[in-house]
Amino acid sequence: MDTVNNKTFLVGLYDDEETLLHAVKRIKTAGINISDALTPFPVHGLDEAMGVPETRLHTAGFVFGMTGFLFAILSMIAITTIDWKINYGGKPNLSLPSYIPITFELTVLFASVGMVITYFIRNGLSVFNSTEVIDERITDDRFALIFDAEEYKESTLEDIDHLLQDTGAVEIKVKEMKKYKNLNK
Amino acid sequence: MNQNFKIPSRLNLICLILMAVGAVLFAIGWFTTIGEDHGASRLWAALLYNNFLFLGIALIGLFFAAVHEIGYGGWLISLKRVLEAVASYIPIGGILMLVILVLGGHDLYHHWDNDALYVVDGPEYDALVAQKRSYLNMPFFLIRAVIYVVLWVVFYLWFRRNSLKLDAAGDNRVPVYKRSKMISALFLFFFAITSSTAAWDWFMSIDPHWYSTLYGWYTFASIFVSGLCAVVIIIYMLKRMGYLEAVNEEHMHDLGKFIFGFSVFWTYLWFSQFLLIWYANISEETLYFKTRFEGGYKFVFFLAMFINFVVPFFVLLTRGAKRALGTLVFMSVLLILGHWLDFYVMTHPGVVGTGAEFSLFIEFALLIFYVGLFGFVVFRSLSKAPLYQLNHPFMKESLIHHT
Amino acid sequence: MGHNYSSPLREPLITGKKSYSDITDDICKSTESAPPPLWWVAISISATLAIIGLLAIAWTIWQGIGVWGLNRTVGWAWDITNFVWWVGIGHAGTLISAILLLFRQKWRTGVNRAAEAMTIFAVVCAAVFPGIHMGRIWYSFFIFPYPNTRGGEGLSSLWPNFNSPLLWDVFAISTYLTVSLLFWYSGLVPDFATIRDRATGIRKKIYNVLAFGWQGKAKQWQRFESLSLVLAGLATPLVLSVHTIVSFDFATSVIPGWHTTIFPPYFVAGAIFSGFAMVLTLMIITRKVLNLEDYITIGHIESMNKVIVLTGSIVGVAYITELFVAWYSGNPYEQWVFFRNRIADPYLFGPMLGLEEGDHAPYWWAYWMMMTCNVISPQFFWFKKLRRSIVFTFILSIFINIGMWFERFVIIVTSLHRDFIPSAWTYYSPTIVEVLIYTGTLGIFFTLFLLFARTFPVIAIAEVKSILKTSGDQYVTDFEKADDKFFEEVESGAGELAGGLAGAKSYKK
Repeated sequence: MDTVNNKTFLVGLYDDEETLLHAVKRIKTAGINISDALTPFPVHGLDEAMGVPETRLHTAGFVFGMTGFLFAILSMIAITTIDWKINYGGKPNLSLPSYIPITFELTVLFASVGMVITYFIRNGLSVFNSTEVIDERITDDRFALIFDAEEYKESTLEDIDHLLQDTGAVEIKVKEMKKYKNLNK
Repeated sequence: MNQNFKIPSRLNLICLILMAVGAVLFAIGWFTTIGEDHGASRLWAALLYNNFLFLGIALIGLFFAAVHEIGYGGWLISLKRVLEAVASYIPIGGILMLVILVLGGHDLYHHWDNDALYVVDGPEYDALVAQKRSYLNMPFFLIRAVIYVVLWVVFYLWFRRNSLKLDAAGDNRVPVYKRSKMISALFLFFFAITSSTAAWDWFMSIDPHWYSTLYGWYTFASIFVSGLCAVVIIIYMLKRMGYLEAVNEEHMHDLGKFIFGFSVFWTYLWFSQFLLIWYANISEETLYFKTRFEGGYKFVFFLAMFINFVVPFFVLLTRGAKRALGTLVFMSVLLILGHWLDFYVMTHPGVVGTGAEFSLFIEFALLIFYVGLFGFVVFRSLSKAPLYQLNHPFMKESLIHHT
Repeated sequence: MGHNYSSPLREPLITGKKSYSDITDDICKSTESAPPPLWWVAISISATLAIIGLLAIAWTIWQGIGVWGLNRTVGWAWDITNFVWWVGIGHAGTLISAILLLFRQKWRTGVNRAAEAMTIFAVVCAAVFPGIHMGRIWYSFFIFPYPNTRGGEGLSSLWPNFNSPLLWDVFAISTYLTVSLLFWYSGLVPDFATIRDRATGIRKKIYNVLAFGWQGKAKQWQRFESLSLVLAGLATPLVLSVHTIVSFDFATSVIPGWHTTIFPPYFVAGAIFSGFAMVLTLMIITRKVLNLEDYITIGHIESMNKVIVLTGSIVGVAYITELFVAWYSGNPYEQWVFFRNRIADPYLFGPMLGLEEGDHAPYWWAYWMMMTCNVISPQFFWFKKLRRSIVFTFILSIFINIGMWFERFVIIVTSLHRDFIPSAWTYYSPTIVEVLIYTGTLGIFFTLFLLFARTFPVIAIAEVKSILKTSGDQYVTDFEKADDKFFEEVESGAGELAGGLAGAKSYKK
């Protein structure tokens, strides 16, 4: 992840996700790397076509969950057998069946909260973000492929322009962005 | 697409050998054990739970197909014939069940099928059991059993007939398909009731003093997991023989999710029943678990818990494991054994109560026999109809299924 | 695309031949226009109810819970009934968004957002009741286990009782509320971005904050989908656990009528049942008022009615199981609770059980109200015509809401009011304060929902767009033609599946 300041992007806008997927495949076969794709909804198979590596968010969730599990069960055991041994209803001090509900709840709580926080941080989402968007219709009905102008040779950019036209882009434009975090790196 | 399954003669032979070996071993077991104290009880208990496990698996075949039929479960259609084949064991399993109940009823249910218990002021008078006599008496018990079995068999035959009709329906398939939905809905309605009552009758009544409202659903969860596992194993065998190429990773992934999810569900019911009885600590209720915490049953009891929950939970947690056929088949075999053990601890302590004992000539002999019989029946059924139901309106969805 | 295929036999889930931008327009509209007069009327009524309820709560706290109708025999009644009722209603949202996601039910996209909102509001209402029932509410933080100085000598702290189901409840409800909120909000972020990109002025600033700077990047969506799936996987057992633990509040005791092992799954089924009824009540109005009939179609309503008939029947089987096992148990107390305290009405069952006149169950009307509304009424939904009738569904959903309230009332009050010693037998009636607190929570609930309906995207915009190509009515092809062509291709080995069925995805032999 790197924050790039004052970058110029070549932007191709499509109006259909299937056209977009075909375009991604064509551009990729031409040996050109796509900086990023922006869509109004999750397009099935796009991450694969773009070559975006799989997310490890679920692994993080598992680790958070195990933390919650151990935290809950160990603290309850410690509290009821070491810190304050009280006889409740004639049950043994160490009443494991009784601890299972709370242990389960805390496992889920830790996993969910941990994952959501990780998700927000890794995705660069926060309330302090500015409104800068590449195109306002991307959250409506446009699918964008963007190319960081700095990373391509002049001639490649021309090729990209042609490819975008050929693959059915409804609009091609150049957009200056003050800040753009590329999550694919 | 290879539509016609021909049973390889080797497979048929293996099934027959398993049956023969199981039968011979059990015959030896029968004659050496029958004379012993509790011998007859033990033999019938083994027959009861082994038979029920496979009958339950067969019922789940029909149940799972019916649920998907009414729930628009398109993904499943390419393996619908496998489910029908599993269900084809219902008539045989059902009839064997009736035979076992008629011949072994007294040895199995001697805790209530005993006239001395009902003699008021007699030495063995049991007020609790006497109160239940209008429900727990052999004639009514057997009538109920016949009703369950007849209902199940009729619905299987009806469902299957309609399914075959769909193959030949041509352009008329939508009405035939809708009829199948109607049959499924009716079956599910009756199964919702009979699956519980059969469990109360055949297993809960072994300990007639004990009762648990959850028991029927718990038993259902057990056979549900076992049934799905049997389906996975049969798919695996068919694929090994070069059939069923349309069933791919995606379908297995879904089956794997079901096995994972319902293993957790089974554990949830197990825990709910255990926790409530443990917590309330009422002696009539805790007796059930007390019996199972003694005499070597405890190990089997917790081993079943470990196999049926801990192992599948960690093994099948990841996406990769659910999609790996080898892992899935291994887990399926293990889970069927786990539920076999679970049914053992549901049956043996109450009927026999002499402590956990496993014998090659009794419990394992029957397992071998039933595996052979079940395989024989299922593969025969598979060879009787096209392997795919191409005419099913949701077949296309299933063929290009993608999770 | 192969994997986007859906059988033409399935009913379209989006009607009106919508395009992507139509979807955006239709759903954002309610957040961009001034509310109609009817909305102002509705919110005035519900806010008034809420304020009266809050005053009744203040009165309860000021005076103590003696202002309620409770007595020594019936120590739990109206308030715990309401608590369980609200928690139950709060189950549908997570069920729709989590369990139906795992079961790939596409129709969930039309209703999940509103159902989740409803879940959160219902859980907020539920939390009110145990809170004020504690009596000294200012000590309620004692329930949280944290190291403290109340333990006396040395380093020991005074801990809550980890063996108590009431403490499990605290954990369950707070976890549930937290996870539901997170699930809901993470799904809302992309839709807030949609509204942000259409808005101007101060609204843009507000929605900009709410949208967290969402841009719809490939990686963001990838993580979004992974998060949804894992949260759904976590929320599914969570939603089961919540009502399970609520049922433990009763079932771990030894009170006849409370202590029964079927309670956990049966409470869960009942909760889903009541939750769906409330979703139907709300969505039938919402789709009409906000003109969302193209997104919440009759097909959606029919699907929900199928869930109603399924869960209603499960609940029915559980009622009958309880009744049967009460008899089968041979336990006279168990039998008394069911046969003498519940089903024995003065007209039919009482005389059948040989009871004299006037000896009938005091709360027989509550039991039969519950049976009629919960078990008998949903059976009408076996008929397709009725499942697809909006008026009928609306009326029935209200019946079920009432029936499920009575279920909890029956469980709680009839099991308690006749104690083991006949001298302690009593009859419980609520006071006006209790009734006003209940209507107050209804006021809170509807106020929050009305606010939600005007400021939030009521339908998950991005999710609906993602099913447009498979479930939009303009994409539905002629069933027979599409299928015939496909199977001809399969048989000739050409077309999409050329090179073997399902291609490389199948296992090697």
